[in-house]
Amino acid sequence: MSRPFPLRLLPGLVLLAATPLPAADSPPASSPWDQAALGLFKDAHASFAQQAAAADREARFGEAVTLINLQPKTDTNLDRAASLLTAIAATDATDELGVSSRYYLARIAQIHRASPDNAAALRIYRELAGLSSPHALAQRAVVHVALLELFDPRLAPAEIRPGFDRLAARGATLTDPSALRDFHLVMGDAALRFNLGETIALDHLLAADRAGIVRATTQRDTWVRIAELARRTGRNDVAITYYRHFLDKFLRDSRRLMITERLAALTATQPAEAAR
Amino acid sequence: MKREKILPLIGFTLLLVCFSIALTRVFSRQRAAANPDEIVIRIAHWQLESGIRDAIDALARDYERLHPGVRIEQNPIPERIYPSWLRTQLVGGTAPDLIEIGKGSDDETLARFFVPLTEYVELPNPYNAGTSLAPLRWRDTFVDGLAGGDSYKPNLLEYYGVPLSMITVRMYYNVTEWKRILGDTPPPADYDAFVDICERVQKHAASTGETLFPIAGSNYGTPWFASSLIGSQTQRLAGRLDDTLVLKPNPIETALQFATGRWTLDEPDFVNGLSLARQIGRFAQPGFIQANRDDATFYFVQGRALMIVTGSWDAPSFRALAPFELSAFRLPMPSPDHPRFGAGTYGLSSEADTPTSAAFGLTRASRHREHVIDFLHFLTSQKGNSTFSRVSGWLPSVVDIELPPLVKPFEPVLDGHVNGIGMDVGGGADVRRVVDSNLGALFDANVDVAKIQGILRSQLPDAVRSDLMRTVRQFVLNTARQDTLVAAQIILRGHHPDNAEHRRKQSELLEAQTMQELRRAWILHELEVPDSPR
Repeated sequence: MSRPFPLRLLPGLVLLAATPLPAADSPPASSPWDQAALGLFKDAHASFAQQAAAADREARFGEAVTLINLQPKTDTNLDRAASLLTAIAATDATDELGVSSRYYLARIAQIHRASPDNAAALRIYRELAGLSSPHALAQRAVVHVALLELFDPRLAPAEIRPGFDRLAARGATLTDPSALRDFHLVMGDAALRFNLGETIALDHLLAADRAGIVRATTQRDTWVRIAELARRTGRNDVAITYYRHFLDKFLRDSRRLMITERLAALTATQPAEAAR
Repeated sequence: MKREKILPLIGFTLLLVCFSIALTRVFSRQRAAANPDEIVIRIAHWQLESGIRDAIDALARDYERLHPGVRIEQNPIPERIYPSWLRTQLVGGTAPDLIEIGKGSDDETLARFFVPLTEYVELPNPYNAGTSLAPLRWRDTFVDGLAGGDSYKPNLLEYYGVPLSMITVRMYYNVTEWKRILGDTPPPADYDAFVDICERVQKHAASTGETLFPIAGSNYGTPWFASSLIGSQTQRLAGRLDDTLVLKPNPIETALQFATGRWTLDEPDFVNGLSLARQIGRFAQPGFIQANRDDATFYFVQGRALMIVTGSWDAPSFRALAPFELSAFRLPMPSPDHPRFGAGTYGLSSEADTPTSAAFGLTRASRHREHVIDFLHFLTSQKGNSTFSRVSGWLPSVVDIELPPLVKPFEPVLDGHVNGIGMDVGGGADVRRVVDSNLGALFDANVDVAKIQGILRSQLPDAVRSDLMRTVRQFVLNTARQDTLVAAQIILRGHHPDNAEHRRKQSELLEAQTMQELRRAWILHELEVPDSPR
């Protein structure tokens, strides 16, 4: 007769198998701002919220900007974030944290709410733009004003040109390189899309490039656009320069053949340039 | 002993044996890990294709010979369970040191569980010493500069992966049968030569009674061929639609132009593309559109079809499975001087934009970070990656590597023109669904092109608009997430004014936001939607 399987051993084996492994789900970065920079919003938010001093404006700012990306996204979180930002701005509306808080109040209205309030966002962006502050986000507000004003589908075609010219004048005061670059990228794109003139589009894109484009994807498209606009407007020297920039930097791009052909055609008509 | 008693006993015995084996493996791994004299680097991936495991194995043994005291363990995981396996390993703290990323590794997973490799890829790869790549930054030794694929994460502004390969799509063919039926006929240089070959194969099959079709078709590979053919016909159309002067069709712009009537399905070039694409259906086995990838592979390796369209990743498996010599050629296209299909094309399209693939990331749980980086350096050195390509039969990811003869047919062709607009206008999920659900009609010889146009005309506009609005929502999600990242960089820059990295990251984030908000604004403008719901 066979002996029964020693079932009393099973619980022991099951317990052995179920021995918990050390959890590795802990945040890798040290400071809450480092965590936020890594996209670990929940961990960063918990750290900011633990910093109890209500008067610590930077911690409250951290709490607010991490709240807006906590999942699930809720009106309660957004309301709390807006309330924190409003309080920070109430202390001083024009210092670093004050300007940043106002900027993020506009972002909540425009981007984070389930029902965006572009009018409210635009009002805050205009206020920030009007500060003529060197703060990066105050200057960036001008970029958002341009986006919201120029691309508003309710804008009548006849209103686009005057609006564009007003914005161009405002952009002339920008000094922050990122804001300057992004403003000219928006203006160049708008000039092209709304047929405001290829020379105007070209000048804005050239200004954007001078300000410093940092992403390769933006750079390669912008250089092609500059070269194409320059060729079409007869500024062959600029076109040749930018076609060459492109060919020198982007060794693998499906546009190389077309650009090589265009460069050859241009240099054939400009022998002195070709000899360079 | 009675049968009723034996069966449960066998079952329990088997269970006990399996459990014992599992326990032994777990404890032996712990023992190995606890051995202070031995460093174990574990590497996991989902590439179960023949050749890949052999290649990684070969490189692992080479590395172990160079570094006594280091042992490399390879852990191939089936693709279907890879995302859940990955999550379990990462959360459980049992993740291998090196993991292939791209499936189940979203931005948050990477940020939480993987080590950014940015500081490493900015320095030369020491294993390239003595080669032409010696002075280059590690990232510049890759064909795409690590800008494509899964290497660089634009939202996190960090490099997280180092790739081993890249992929291209080719027409594979059975060389043995080719020679038997077609003699010395070379691979086709253009579409007409391809059609001629297909017709000769059909005649041969009809005259001999053999079951042999020119192409093993499927709902997996055949649509790629069809889309490439349509893309060839719409190169000039794409040029005419290049409103933003970037000399390349952008899927979102193309979709938007379709939604606003800038171009229609009646464009002669697009109609030509449809006519051309549907011709290939007559060269595949009957009912091929119901066949999946495995069905088509079966047809091909059994010698019942002369050719098959698929990616370069299948080459090692085909070589292992097929009892015949194998080669491949580029998907044939009509040349510009073609009397019927030449008007819309500039010529063969370039594959210069092919990104790298099979990227591996370093987990934070790794206890041997510097050794793992060293092994990654070794894998992706000019010599190491050359070995990988030779043993695996896959394309290398590193520049200036002489391709083995078997890999040569898959080499991306860098010359050529930008491809035009494909069948999947904009490439969104809803358009994809419309196209997939109408593949039967597209390839049905009894359905004329006008009827296909009618079907697409009735279904595509809504699908395109829906995809565009999904794109808008995705842009909102991205930019909303970036808002917090920007705030963090601004504060960190204030804390560490001498750290140029925070300035770079802030600038890059803002530029990325601007470009997405600009495109989003244009979509909403063109679709006349004043506000976009999140």
